[in-house]
Amino acid sequence: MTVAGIDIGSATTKAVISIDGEVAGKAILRSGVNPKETAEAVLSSALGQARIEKSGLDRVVTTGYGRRAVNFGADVVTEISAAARGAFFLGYPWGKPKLVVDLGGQDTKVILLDAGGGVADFSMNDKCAAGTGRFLEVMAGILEVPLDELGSVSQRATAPVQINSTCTVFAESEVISLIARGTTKEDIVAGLHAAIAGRIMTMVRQMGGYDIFFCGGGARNSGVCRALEELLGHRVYVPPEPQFVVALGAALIAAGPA
Amino acid sequence: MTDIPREFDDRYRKHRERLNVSSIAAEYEQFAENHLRSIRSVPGRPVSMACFEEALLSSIRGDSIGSPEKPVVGVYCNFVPDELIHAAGAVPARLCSGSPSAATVAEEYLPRDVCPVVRSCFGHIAVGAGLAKRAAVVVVPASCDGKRKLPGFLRDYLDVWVVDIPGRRDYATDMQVWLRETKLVRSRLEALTGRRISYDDLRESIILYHRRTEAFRDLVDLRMRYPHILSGRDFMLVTNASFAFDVRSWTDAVRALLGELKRQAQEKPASPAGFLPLVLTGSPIIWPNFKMLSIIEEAGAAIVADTLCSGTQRLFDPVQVDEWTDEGMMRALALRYFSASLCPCFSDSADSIDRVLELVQDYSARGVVSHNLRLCQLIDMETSRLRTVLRDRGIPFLGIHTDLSQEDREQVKTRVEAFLEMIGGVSEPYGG
Amino acid sequence: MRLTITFWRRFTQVVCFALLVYSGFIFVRSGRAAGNDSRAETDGSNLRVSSILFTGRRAPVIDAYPPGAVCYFVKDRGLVKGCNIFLISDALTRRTPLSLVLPAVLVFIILSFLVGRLWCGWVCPLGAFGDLIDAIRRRLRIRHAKISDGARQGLRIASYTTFFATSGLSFFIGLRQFSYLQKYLYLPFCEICPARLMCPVVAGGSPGFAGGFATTAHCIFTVLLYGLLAFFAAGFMAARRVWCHFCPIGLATSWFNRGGMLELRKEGTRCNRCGVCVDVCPMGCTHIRDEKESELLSRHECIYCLRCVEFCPKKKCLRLNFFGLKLVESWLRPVKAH
Repeated sequence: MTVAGIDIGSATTKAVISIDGEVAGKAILRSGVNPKETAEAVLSSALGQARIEKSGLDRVVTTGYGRRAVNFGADVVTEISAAARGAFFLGYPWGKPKLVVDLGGQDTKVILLDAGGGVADFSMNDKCAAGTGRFLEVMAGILEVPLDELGSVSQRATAPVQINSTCTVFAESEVISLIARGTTKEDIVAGLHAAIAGRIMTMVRQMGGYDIFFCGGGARNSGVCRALEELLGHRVYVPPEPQFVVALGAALIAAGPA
Repeated sequence: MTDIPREFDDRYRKHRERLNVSSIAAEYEQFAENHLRSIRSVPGRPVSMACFEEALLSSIRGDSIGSPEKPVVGVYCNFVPDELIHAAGAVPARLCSGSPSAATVAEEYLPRDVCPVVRSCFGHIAVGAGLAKRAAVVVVPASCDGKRKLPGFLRDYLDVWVVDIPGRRDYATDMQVWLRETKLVRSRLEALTGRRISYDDLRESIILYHRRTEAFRDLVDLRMRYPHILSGRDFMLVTNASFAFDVRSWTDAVRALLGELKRQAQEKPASPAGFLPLVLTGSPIIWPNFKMLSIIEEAGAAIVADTLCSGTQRLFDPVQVDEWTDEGMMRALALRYFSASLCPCFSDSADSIDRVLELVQDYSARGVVSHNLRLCQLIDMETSRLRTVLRDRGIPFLGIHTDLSQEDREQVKTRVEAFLEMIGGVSEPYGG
Repeated sequence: MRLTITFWRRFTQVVCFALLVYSGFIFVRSGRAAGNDSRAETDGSNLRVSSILFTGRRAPVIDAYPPGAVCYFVKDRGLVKGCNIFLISDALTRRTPLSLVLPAVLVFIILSFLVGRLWCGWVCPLGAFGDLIDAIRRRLRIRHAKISDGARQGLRIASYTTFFATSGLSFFIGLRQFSYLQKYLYLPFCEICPARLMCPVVAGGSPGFAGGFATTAHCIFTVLLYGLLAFFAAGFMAARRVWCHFCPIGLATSWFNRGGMLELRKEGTRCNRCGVCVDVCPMGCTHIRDEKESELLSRHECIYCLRCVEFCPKKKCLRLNFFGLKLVESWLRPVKAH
């Protein structure tokens, strides 16, 4: 069965093509202002990679914020169910996941899975930027550090600072004054990682303490992973290409029940 | 919007001049009409719902209710006996408001971090929207923190009576207080209308309202047997209509609705395929703000039972009179309006959690949804307890934190849809 | 007239009253010796039968002592032999052999175990008469007083005191050296019991001792007799079944109320603690409302009048079980205004 899953997020849009259970193609684009066009573009890109035509798709499932934007006969599913399905399929190297954290560009999800991979409980933060990828994006901009280097920068920290502001905007001001005071970038970045890990932990604590399957764009930041592991007390596993987990899940859902 | 009575306008002109009253009131009516339009677009609704819709629209407009001989007594919550107000020759009107524009009015006067319903209630009165402009007095129970301080703000606009609510809800220690408060309300009503509530007046009122309860119970029972027969939104329209509907007319309307529903149940006794019954609990959902209900029902689930004070809990408990003496009737009123209440303002939430469990069992519900208005500590704390209890029993639970504004519809929708996928299984995603 | 639980209870009370008090006249029995009880001659006890209230009897229809104030002293003996206080006092004084007493006691225990204090609520003639007084109070629209927990406990203590004092005295006067006291102290509680005044009088017979001031003993008993009678009547007139908290006759049955075959049960999740049950309970049981952990609600005070079940506005919340089978449960009844 040839299926496609499209995750239309507010920051980035991802598509995954699966042919008989194998990933054949995937693509990612920044979402921009027109989710419909972006979705079509990312799907074409993935189709190109998989070397099949759109008509060759048996089914398409869309998910994410813009899941209803497309009009080419797709079914919809929420990103929570898609993330759960994708995470359970990929699994940990040491077994099946129980707790999934998706650190997206503009929202964060924590999902508790049951033994069969279904969603047992979930918690979402899509109202406050402080616990999402946006927080890191803003801070990377101020510190003039490329987003994908934040992890390695924080590794060199000697005395991580404590960020006191709960709000991204106020944290911005706090960081600026820290810079002015001469605090090293490494220490600030480490502090920021601790802050965002703390926000995630508030949601995780509601679900219980388990190893975390960490996905979404934000999971690529090794600094956040380390900070999370420290606070959590359990292992944090980041799959290769964590941004595609949700789109993969949507594709798997298109293929049929687990 | 129909005309503001002169006395009201004179008294509050100074305040109201600072507010753009007419635009706020117009917004309020528009909001109500939009909501009604979306509800009316659902196919297969019972014809008898029309009179409830009419009643709700006219209460938004504040159309003729009450008169100089029959003053309107505004109340909040469900702690003041309608029977007493009726027996005194006045008209009871529950003034709880769900309008987000009224809540924004209050921003000028009340602090920001106050329950949105309390702010909306204040704004409602400050603007003189709907029924508020007709009220001679408003009775405020000191149930939650917000309502405890609200009287101080409302006194600028109306006469306010405060009703004390001890937090314990213990029969042995609090019955005296309940009785005292009920008697206080009674004597104030008598002073307001200028006539004593006689034994016969009270007796007749109690019997009249008992018939209202019986009609309502019959409706609830019918829904228990055939949960698909009336949607959650329509049911809430019925209960919200009782806020300010003449009691005889409301009872007759419910009986008519029952007749029609019974006929429909004969034709379609089984629930449709894919029927997802849910129990709703939490903060009140007040007309015209049915956002939560619309989102849930449009996503494909059905609210078959609820514990809302603006829903089932408003009308469910009867006034059980043991001895038809004056004292006996007052006791029965006190018991029904205080002791039977499941409001989270009481310290012990065991009974309200039990009620949720009972409903889940009786209606074979697939899950529980809690509608939590932000800044309501009482509901939030109850919800955490409820969550633990439900988790221990393996009953799926969804907690939604929201407020009266309409801006977070998409976010609430995502959560609701994820929850439905969770309990319904994701084998067949529904069409986009 | 609606066929509510209370209707059936009133009906049962009336029928039982009639049977217990009047059936001495109705039923024809094999004649036994009239006049003094034959046992007085054959059991060799040293009972001097000329006590202040002993009068001659015929044999009853049913040779048993059921729970409730089924008075021994009704004219022509009535349906049954008497109440348990009579049984105990009489047996202790006469030193009746165990082989005669034990079966009677066992029958009593079994009857109590079967339905507990249902006897008090549905059968007892004293209770029935009291409920008549209560009905007059309701008709006159006089409101009833609430009895505090402390007062109720005090009454129960008084009940125990009376019971054991009666038993102790009865045993005491059975001793040879004190047998002269039997003239005054035989059946000490019967001498002051309101049932012993009421039942024979209502049956048209002599009440036995009806007061008098001949001796000091007479004076004391007269004061106690009319004091208790006043407490009984005033109690029912002002505070519903307050007498039943004190009643020493019901005390023995109350020991078997919980753990018997009849059970008042509540489904905890269905209760919202509205408190109507406590308000209508003639015995003032608060635990009906408050108890949510345990399903079983029967306690020593409950007389199974079932008003709580009748008035409870929740469906299937309160119920009465017999031998584990549900007999009746609560539901919302339409309003009845009289």
